This record gives sequence, C-alpha cells and structure tokens, in this order.
Amino acid sequence: MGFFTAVGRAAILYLGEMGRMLLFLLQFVFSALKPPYRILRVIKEMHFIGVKSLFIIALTSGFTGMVLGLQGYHTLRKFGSESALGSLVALSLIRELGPVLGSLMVTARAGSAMTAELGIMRISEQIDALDVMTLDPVKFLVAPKMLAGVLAVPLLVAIFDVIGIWGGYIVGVRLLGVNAARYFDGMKESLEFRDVWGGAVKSLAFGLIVTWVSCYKGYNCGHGARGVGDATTEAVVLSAILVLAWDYILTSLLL
Amino acid sequence: MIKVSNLRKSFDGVEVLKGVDIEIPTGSTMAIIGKSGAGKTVLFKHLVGLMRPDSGSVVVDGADITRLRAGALKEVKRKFGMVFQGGALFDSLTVLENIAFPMRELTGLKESELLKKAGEMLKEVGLSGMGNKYPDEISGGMKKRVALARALVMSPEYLFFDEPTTGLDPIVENAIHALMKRCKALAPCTYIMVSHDIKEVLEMSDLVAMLHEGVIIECSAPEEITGSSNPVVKQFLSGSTEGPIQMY
Repeated sequence: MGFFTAVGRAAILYLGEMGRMLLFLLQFVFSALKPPYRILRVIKEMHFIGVKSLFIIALTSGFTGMVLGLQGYHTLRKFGSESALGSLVALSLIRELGPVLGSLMVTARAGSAMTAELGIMRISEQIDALDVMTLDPVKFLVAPKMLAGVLAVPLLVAIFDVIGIWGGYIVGVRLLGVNAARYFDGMKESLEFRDVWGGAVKSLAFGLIVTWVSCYKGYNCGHGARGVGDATTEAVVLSAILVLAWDYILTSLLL
Repeated sequence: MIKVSNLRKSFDGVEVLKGVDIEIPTGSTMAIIGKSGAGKTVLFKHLVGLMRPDSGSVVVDGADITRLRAGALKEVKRKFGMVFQGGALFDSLTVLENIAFPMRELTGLKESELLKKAGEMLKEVGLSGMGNKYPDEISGGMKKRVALARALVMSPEYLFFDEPTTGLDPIVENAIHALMKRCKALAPCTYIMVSHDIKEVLEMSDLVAMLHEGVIIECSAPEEITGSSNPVVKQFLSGSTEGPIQMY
C-alpha cells in the first residue's frame, strides 16, 4: 500500500509541476503579445544569450566538426568513400549535432545564469517589488528572455553548423588529404532544404525549451541560496533531458 | 480604508490565517505584531495583493482586491507602496536608477524630469551623493532609506513596511523613524507595518493589531494595548518566555 501511495503521490506531484510549467508558458505567450513591447530588453537579452555565447559555441562546434572529420574519415576509408566526408559532417551537424549541442551549450552558459538571476530576484523579493509596482514580472523579466532565446538559439546553431563544417574541413581536407572540391560538392549534392529546415525547427524549439525551463525554475525557486542552487541544477538537467527527448520526437516527425 | 474580513489561507493543509478581521482607517499608522511564524507576512502579502486567500475579503476603498480582475487590481495597487524587509532594491541598477525606476516604467515623465525628481527624493532621505552607488555598496540602513524613497516617489496612498528597522543599529533606527514621520507629515498617507520591535510599534503607530494563531486577538491604540489584560498580548509585549505563547 505504501508503495502505491508513494507512486501516486509522485505522479500527482509531477503532473502538478507539468501543469504549472504549461501555465507559465501560456502566461509568457499572453504577456509577450500584449503591448507595450519591450524591444530594447529583448535586444539586451539577445546580446546576453547570443553574443556572449559565441566563444563557447565557436569552441565546441570547431572541435565537434574536427572529431566528426577524423572519425568520419577513418570509417569511410574502410569502404573507400572518403569523398563522402563533406556530406557526413554537414548532415550530422545540420540535422542533429548543431541544434542539440548548440542548445546544450546555451543551457550551460545562459540558461543556468538566467535561472540564478531570476532565483536571486525571487528570494530577495525583487520580483514581489515589481508586482507591487503593478509591473507584471513575467512580462517585464521573463518574456524578453524567452523571446531572445527563441531568436538567438537558431542563429547560434547556424554559426555552430558553419564552424563545425570548417572544423571537419581542416581535419579531413587539410590534415588527412580529402579533396577539397569533393568535400564541398558532396555536401551540396546530399544536403536538401528539408535538412536545413529541420535543423532550424529544432533549434527554434530547443531555444524555447531552454529559456522556458530556465526561467520557470528561477522564477519559482525555493528559499535561500540552496533554493537558487537547486533551481539552477534542476533547470540544466531538465533542459538537457527535454532537448534530447524533443530531438527524438521532432526527428521522427520531420523525417 | 482597508477592511479585511474573515480572511483564511492554508498551505499544504496547515491553516495559517484562520479568519482574520481587521480595519485600517485612512490616514492611520497601523502596526501588526505577533510572534515569528504567526502569519504576519502572509497577511501582509494579502493586503498588497501578492497572495490570493482561500476565502474572505480584502476591501481597499470599496474594492475587494481578492476578487478583482487583473486590470482593476492594477488600478487599486497603484495606490500602494511597499518597503520590503531587505529593501528589495534592483541590484543591477544604481541607487538613483532604483528610485527613478517606477517613474520610468509607470509614468510618461521625461528622462531629465524623472532623474531630477529621483535626485530630490534621494536628498529627502539624506542620501545625496550616493546616487551612483549600487545596492550592494551601501549599508542596510541606507538600503531601507532608498527603498522608502522608491516607494514615496510614486506618492502612494497606502505605504506598507515589512520590518522597517530590523537589523539596524539604534541610531539608524531612530533616523528611519524620524524619516517615516517626516514623510508622513509631507505627504499624508496610511502606513501599515509589520514589526517585532515593540518600542518602534508603540512609538510609531496609532493602532496596534496582534495576530496570534491565525486570528487578530486584539486591535487597539498603543496606550490601550500596553494595558491589555489578554495574557497572550501581555506576554508578547513584555517579551517573557513564561506564558501562553509557546516558543516551539
């Protein structure tokens, strides 16, 4: 009996949390649609999420492309298909690795910071202060961050893809001797519009997921420094899980 | 006037407010006292519209804020100002920007005008020259004064203080009291405060309400409450560990 009670309690808890997260998302949608539009705040948040994540995106995408080039070359050589390296690198990055790894990097750098920022504002009553001033905290604090995330993540993912392809080029063409023309021609031949479109849809969805989870956890964080710490950890873990789960769902829908 | 009737609120099955009834006359200074965990902050959050009760009403100038829709609630809340216990200053803004913030967001004032007004308010609370400091660069007493300036700059009709002098030294405490009195003389409004400091409560308020076990057990003028025959009130005011109030 105790086991079933515990399972039931946990299920109610998780369902309740999911419901609250959904309501938070709806609150964001309504507040984002309602004037006044805080364009400057969105641009400021885009700078924080986008520009300030460029270095880490460049670094991770460069290495990802290089590893793909290296692994891909040695695998393809077994079948005498080194010339397909460009296709392999580009398709892997544009369809999967760019959106997933790019979003995970944004979670680690910007998502965690957003959760911590909102969490500290919550525990120091700054969010309550906004509320008493009749400023909707979701509209004022959360909506610009989520809008910026939805806009910035696809751009970061596009940069991730381009740098990754160049990383694969450096290893495959410059170091391992694959023909440069074949590397890029293979890419052009195999890449279709729906691959690029699929990657863009994924990065849009992941941008929303990362900022939604990060903002929700920070906005509703528990008490004290521990509450902020827990919220930040939960935000990163849940964002990562949701990004990977949605990657599967979107891939199955887009294929 | 604020009239609270039969206000009830529970958290996870524990009833914190068990039917609070209280009237706060316009222009008065009302202090709400009670031991830690008695539900003062919960009551306070209901008064400013930060929480919705399970049942009961909070009527502000004829409008029940527990039943108002967002737009109408906003109109009523425009009458409120609040000085939070820790100040709740926006830590990414300077002191001057903190004071200018509500004007910038809620009024159509030009930037030059609102900065001028914020500067004047800063001078009013005795912090001229501190405008470019950030909240983490100033003391607790200064933060309270900045928070007071930020609340006053919008000329509220009701000003709420959550523990206005907790954690401050006696000199700063007296300075804050003097400032509160001066501000009230300059722009008359209703003060509502939650405090543990009996000296402060008796000195500053016209009415004292004691919250105990989820209900208001006594609400009267300071001179009357000090002579109360209620053993709970007597014990709380004397600070005695012996009596009906259990410490744990």
